[in-house]
Amino acid sequence: MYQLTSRQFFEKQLPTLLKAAPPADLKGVVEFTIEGDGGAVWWVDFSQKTVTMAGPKAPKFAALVRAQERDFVALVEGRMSPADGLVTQRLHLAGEAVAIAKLAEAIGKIAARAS
Amino acid sequence: MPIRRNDPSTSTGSTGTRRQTGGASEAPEAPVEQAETKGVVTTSVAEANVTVTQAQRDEIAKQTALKAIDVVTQFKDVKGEAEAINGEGDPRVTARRSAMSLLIAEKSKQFVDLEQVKAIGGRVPDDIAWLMDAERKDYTQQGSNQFSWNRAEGYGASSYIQTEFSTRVKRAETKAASFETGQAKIVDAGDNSVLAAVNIKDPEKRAAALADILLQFRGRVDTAGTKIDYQNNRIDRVGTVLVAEQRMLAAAADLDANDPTKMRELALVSAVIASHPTSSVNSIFDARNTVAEMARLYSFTKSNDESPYEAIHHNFSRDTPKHIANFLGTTMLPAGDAKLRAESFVTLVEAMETARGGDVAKARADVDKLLKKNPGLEGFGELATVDNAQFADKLRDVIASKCTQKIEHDTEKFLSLTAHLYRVVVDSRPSAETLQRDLFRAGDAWGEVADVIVQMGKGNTAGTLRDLGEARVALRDAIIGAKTGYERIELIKLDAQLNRLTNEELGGTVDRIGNVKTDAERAECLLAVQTGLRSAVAMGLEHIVDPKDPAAGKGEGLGVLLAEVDKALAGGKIGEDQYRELMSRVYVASAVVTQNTRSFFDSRTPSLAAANIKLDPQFMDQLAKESPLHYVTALAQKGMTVGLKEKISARSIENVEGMRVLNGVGPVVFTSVVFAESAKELAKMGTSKDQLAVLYKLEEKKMVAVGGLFVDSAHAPGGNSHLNMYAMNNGIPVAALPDLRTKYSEFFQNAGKEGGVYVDDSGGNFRMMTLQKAVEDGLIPGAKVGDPASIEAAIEKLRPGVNRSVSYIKPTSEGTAFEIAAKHEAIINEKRKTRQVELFIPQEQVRGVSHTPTFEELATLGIHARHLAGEKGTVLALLGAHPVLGKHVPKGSEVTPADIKDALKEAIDPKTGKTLDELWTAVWAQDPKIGSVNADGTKETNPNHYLNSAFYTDRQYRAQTIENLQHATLDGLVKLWVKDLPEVKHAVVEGDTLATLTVKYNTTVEALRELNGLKKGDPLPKELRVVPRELTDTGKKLYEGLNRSATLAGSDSWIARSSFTGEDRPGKSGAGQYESYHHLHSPVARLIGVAGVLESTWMPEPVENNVAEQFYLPFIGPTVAVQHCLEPDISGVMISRDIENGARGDVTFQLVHGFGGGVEGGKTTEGVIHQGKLEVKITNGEEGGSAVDVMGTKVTDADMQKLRTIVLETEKYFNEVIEKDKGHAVDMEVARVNGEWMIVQARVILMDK
Repeated sequence: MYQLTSRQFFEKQLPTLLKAAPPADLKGVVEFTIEGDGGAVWWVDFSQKTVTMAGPKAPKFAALVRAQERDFVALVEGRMSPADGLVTQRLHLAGEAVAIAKLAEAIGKIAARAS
Repeated sequence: MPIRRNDPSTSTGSTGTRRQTGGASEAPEAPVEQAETKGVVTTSVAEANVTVTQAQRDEIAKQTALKAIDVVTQFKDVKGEAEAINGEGDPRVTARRSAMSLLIAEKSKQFVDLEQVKAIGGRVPDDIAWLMDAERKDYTQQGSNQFSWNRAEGYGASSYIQTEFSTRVKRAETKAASFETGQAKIVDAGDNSVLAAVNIKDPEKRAAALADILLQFRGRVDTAGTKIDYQNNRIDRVGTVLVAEQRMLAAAADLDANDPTKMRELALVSAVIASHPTSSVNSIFDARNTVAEMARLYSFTKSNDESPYEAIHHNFSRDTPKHIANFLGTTMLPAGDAKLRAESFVTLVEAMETARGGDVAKARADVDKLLKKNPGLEGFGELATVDNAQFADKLRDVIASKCTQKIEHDTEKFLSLTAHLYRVVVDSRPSAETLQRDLFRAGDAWGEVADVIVQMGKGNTAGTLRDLGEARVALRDAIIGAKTGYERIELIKLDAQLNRLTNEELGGTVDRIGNVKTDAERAECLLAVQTGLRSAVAMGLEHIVDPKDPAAGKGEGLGVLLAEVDKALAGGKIGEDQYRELMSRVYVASAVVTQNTRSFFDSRTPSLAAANIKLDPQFMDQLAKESPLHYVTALAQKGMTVGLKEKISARSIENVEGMRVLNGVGPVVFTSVVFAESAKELAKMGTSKDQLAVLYKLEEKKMVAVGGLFVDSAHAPGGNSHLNMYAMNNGIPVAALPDLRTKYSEFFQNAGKEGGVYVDDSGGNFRMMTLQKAVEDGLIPGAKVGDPASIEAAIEKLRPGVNRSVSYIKPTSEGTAFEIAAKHEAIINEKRKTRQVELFIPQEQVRGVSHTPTFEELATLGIHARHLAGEKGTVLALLGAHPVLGKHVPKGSEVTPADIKDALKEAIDPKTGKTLDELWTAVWAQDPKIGSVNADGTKETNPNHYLNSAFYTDRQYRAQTIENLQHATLDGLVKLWVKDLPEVKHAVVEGDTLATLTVKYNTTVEALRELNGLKKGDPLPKELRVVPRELTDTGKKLYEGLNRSATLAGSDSWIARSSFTGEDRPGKSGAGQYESYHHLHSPVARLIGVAGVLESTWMPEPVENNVAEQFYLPFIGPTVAVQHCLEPDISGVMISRDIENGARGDVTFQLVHGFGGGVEGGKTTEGVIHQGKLEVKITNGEEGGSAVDVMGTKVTDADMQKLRTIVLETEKYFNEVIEKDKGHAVDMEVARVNGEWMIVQARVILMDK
């Protein structure tokens, strides 16, 4: 059973983490689509350190992240590594190769800090 | 009879010896090098050399005759006429006559004594007389009383048929004459008639007519001519006439195996005839009497168009087979895979019949095989435990249990009749048995067809493959040599059976050979390629070309490649490299033929669409998949990997096992790799032409434009799939790799770090590596390790994309025609495909039209206006003069090359003191590297070639030059046209806005903001500083010229729009790269807007793109279209096709609120406008919707239909005038003002881009 919800992560934990130090040198907005109960779509700009719930006007995204609520929480709580998430297809990343590599690294860092 | 193959000299003349094209049959019997020798492929297939003896052929023929005699004997005393009306004809009579028709065929004489057959007695002598009269004669258009063999009365009587025939003859004459004179653009085959083609003499026109007919028979989806009509669509009347027409078409066909045009005719006539539901009079009555018998056992819903009874009796048309198949799938067996239901039903009934006949083991095997193919068929598995004695009963009961409507009487008979009807009308399901049944219809090719029957009977796959190919060539020759239409039709129908069998065998080979690892697999692959090519050659497929298609007629002929395959098989062995290379050539040639065919049919579809004939957009894909080349492509793809060794490392990947190159383009560099689950995700992130997309889930029909594409082998279809065609048309390299999600992650990560991916699939090899490694390995000429500038320059030629052959066109001196002023090839890479591009050189006058012409004056020049107004201005002017579309175009005037030249000569660059004309001219006359620039020859042969210039080769010089020119142009032109007056102070009062003040002081919003330090949206201060302005005399002269347009003179708001001569041409788009200025209220603002458009000549985006694509910039110039600026409530983009499937007649729309000038961001409402129907896919950014709502503004369905009409009329006009006979789709920008749709822009969009 997980401790956190994705909403808590995006509304509270991630803004704090970003304020302390952005975990990725990633330009542009990343869309996180969290599916299942409690899920929502979030837009995160790592360089501007902003987290918002998806709005009506979609920007051009630098990368896309998609996971089920439970898998995403497991990811940010460090119970599932990005590599395992990708191999098992519980985590889907889309984007340019460098951006994806940075994003996977950033998720790893977030998990380390969060735990 | 002597044994034919072992001693060819003793073969019979009538059966013919092995054909010269069949080199495999002459394979030496000497032992060849054994398999698995390194680098060598052993091509000998022992089974393929197992020959059929003449005795075996004769035995098959005798069995055929005996079976037919059995049927005749069984039913000899059945009375009645097959043609009796009201379905009273007896199916046993049609079965007897069918068997009899075989026995009286010319080729049966050597096995059947006709006198003995007559001696069977009963109705046999009468049948012979009837068949000679009804089946074995050709009809003539002028003939009278030609249907006297028909003894029916009432609606089906011969007089009615003759009347129907004569009516159709007259109609066909009118159609043909109208089409030949050009009065009619198409041949309408809504009445299922083929006669018009018989009357058209010109071979090209006849080919076009046959294409029209075929497209309508196979792909027409509107309901013209397919509704119930108790008189005119009766099968006994119209069906008989259709058979007569087919015979005339076949008889009139001018065929010759050595003449490409005549082979095209063979291909088209064969396809048309094979597309007809039935081709013999007897089968017409067979269908009718069968369904009548069915109706006695079962209650059809008679009022339904699609009921089999109605589809046969009163609605006999091209849709009849569709309705019969639909009945089987939805009523008789609504279970399992929807696509396989009809076929499954027939298989099950046949198994029931087989079991009833005593062969339960075969029946069980057939059912088991079916259940593997269609595992969703529930309930049939329990048959495994049923006793042999009960099997037929149980199977009957299970089939009947699936039927949605109770079968009232004699279930088993009804099931058999239904399956029989399907075989007669829809699909004869070719097999060795059906071939044997029809053997004597094969004419001189009967021996070769018998060979196939024998090989299939023995289960000799390789022998079957080889003999199928040979039989097809023999049948082609028999068709050409046949003297009568009825003989040709019988041969064509038989050949259609063989084509299907060939494809089934080739498909089996594709599955069997796996990754072509063993010599046996490789040899079978080559043998199958031989059969596929031989079939394609026999069918004349490579001759289906549009003579106006510039890309057609290129590449290697299939015959040449077939000869090489023959040689490779006959030689017994071939090197792996040669094998791959041969397969690679076969692959390319197959792709070329497929694309030529597509292009040929594409050339007809615009005219058909303009005639409101709605076609199935999947037609071409289906046609391609029915061709043996579909399988040849898949075989060649596999063959191209033979002997390649897989290497996968962190920085490079070579020859992956199980991979397939779906579309290769030679060496290419992608500077970025993007990963996505789906095309939808790609669209969300935006992609560029330089990106390689790695896509995990493939939705073939929803691809977005990318530079290159990798998909997973598991999802990638073989052959000419949608994806393959999309990729070929777009010049996009596509590869299918196994385990895409997991196998190459390290490589792709490194590719991201090392500058991108280098891919090369040339020479039958496939390798990709990080860009950095490719540079280290010296694979990129000119690129030096550690020198980013050299790498960037070197990869320019390896970027994804296509080559262009560019013609620069000028008007002839009298301005009534065009001539080519210069031509050059913009070759990115020699191995890429080449597109033809035409650009029209700016001119100072055409036919006396020169300065600031109004749109009306421009329209008098027709498409010659391009020299004065670019593409946008010309299109708007021409559409403005269109009798229907004119009222939908805002009128205006054009700033032409003459106006611009005058201004440039007078305008002074304040910085250098030179005229703008001197500065603009100097770019090309005084290049620091080569002096005067020209486009003669090539850069290798001509030192002054523009591609050698500093402007084209030195990025830094170019950047500096254009920056200077941009500033100089704007400053110089503004000073030429506008002068400042002394500054004033303006006290702001209520109601003042910047826009109103610009009118009062004749200035611009930008100038007011700058002077007062205001940002957009800032409130106005109490007092403003204003520098009032006015036009200079030169400015006034230009302004007055523009105001000659009454629309502009009366307009309070103008828009100045770029219309460059290199903008919006097919194959050369500059859309969005130049500037336009809207809402121009004052005279000064308007001319500054014009100056702004001209300044954009030197903006980096268009200049860099033109340089990269090697266009000759001195021949590309600006013009400015000036119009009244609209204030719409809704605007948007339309495309005159359904962009998901390319369907003509449908219009894809994307609407936004307010003034769009295109759709750029914001919430859109999207969908497709079909004829009489609206499909809303997205409403204000959210998926779904039923009516059009654009941010609260509703658009009625009727209004959307009006829009569809405008768009389709525009497409039609493009095809008739602007891009004559090209058949392009159009991409339009529209705006709705006061409830009226207005055309803002229209241009060609190449749907294959």
